[in-house]
Amino acid sequence: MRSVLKTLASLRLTMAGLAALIINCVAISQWPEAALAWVVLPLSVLAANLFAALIVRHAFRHQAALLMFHVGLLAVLMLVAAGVLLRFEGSVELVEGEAFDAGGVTARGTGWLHPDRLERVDFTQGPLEVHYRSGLQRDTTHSRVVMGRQDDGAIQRDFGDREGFTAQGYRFMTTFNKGYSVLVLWRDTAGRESLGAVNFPSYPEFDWKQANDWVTPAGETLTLELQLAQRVPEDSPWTLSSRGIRYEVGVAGDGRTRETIGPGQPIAVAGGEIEIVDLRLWMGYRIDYNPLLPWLLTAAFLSLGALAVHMAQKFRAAGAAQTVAVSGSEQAA
Amino acid sequence: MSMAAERTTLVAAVTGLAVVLLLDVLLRRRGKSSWPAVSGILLVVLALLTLAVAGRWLRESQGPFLTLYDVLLSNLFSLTLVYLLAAWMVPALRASSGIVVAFLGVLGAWSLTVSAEAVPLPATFDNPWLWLHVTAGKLFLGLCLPAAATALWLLARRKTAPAEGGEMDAAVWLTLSLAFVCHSFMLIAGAIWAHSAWGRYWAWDSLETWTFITWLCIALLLHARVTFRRMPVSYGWSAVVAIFGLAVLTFLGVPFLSVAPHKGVM
Repeated sequence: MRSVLKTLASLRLTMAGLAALIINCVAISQWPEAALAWVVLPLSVLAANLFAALIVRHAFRHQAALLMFHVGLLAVLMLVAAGVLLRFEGSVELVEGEAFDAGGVTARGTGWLHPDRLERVDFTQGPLEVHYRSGLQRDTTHSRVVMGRQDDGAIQRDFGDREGFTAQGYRFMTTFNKGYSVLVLWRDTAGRESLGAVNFPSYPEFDWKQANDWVTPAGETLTLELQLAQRVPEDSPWTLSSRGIRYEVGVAGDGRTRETIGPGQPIAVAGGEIEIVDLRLWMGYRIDYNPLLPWLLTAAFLSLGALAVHMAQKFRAAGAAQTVAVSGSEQAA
Repeated sequence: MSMAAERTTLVAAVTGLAVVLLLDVLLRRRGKSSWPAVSGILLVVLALLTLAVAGRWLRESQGPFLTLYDVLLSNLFSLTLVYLLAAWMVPALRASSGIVVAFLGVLGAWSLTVSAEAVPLPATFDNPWLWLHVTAGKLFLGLCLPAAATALWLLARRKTAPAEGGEMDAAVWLTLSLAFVCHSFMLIAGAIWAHSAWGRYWAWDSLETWTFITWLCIALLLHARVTFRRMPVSYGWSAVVAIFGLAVLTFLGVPFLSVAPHKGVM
């Protein structure tokens, strides 16, 4: 067993592992979408090599800082691997006043061991504001959410671009992707009503094409086009918000003459009528989940501190040896 | 400070670098120590670069992070400062001053050819970890430069003056090891900043990948030194020079060639 560990702990294997990882990282720079596949094998070899070295290599026993650095490095590798298995990455668009629904989340990456708790996330999107500096430079974002239900002690949270907010371990971050949305009331011929939202493309990035298709419950495809009374000022600060905006909505569709309606004006469509109720903002959130990040950070900093101490000790010893050598040669002279 | 005054200050600093290089060559040819004159004029160059960086910072109300010009100007400042400090503390690094100044001169001349127009820093990027990340990166490159310059100097003189190696060789490995510590901190601080600015701590974008490759190359070299103790010293010096070349390509090339989100953010 010990001889196997000694073979596994070989420095030459460390070098081979590092060289393989370098080559694979060069490949990743060309094909980043397959990054995980490229690094799994060399990192596994390096982790096994390091684990074996920590057990059998005597050099570590005499150099506590070097030992700490490598233990920290091994911990970082383990935590990164565990984080990949537990992680979740996704996105969701929420309209002001809309309650979060896990069904609306688009997942971009889910670890094999991810404990799916998105269903337990419970909050409602409050008012949104995005401030712009002169020249349409995006400045700060302000989002308010209400966590929980009103009847069992709701908590209001305000946050922006930098901090995000966390619910059930999922971190929600605002993004540059946001825009206007209209609340549309659908009323069928029997008088039954349902309310929904139609999100328009990101604003002000796509201010020139604020249109989106919507299929009514009766199956007719309508194209809604948002027409804002005022244009975005490019030479002065400006705030994107849904309050105090004058607007109309153009309604078009196959075989239908284009009509323009304001809020509260119903328009007849196939199988019923629609009415624009209100103008809101929607925000595109990025969602991520990795409960091991604080531990990863701790391990990384411990490892770095140990490396710094090791280097300091090493070069202090080298400096002392050089001083002894110089004074020795001076005495001989 | 106006843009025109900033450019004039930069031109003066680059001219100062040319003067330093000329003096260095002339004094060495006459067999005299060039360090007092070189360090004196480099201090003046550093003062001019400090003025240019500070003037730009005050005018634009943001640090020099985004454009190629920002990166070149701030690196000129940090490389000069770190070299002066390193050479003051480790005298063995002074011999390669000509190589260091020539490299700074090339960066200076390059900075005069690119647009100095500022680009506003996105609000999401403005985070204390950005400062720590960039500072650690500049310390890394600043320590790599004298290590590579001294290694190159040793390579050039290994046949004519082989006895000079000992102390300078130690200085090469000292600065490279310190650079490795700074590089490690840069990776950690960058990951924290990216997690805040972009919602992920690592995404394998071009700059992240090539920075990690540089870190791995240094780790490989440090392990090679322990594994192959009888390896000719010139192999190690050549590797140090190659790593510096890789670091320069990574820091000054990749961010401006890639279309990844890291583009231009230094």
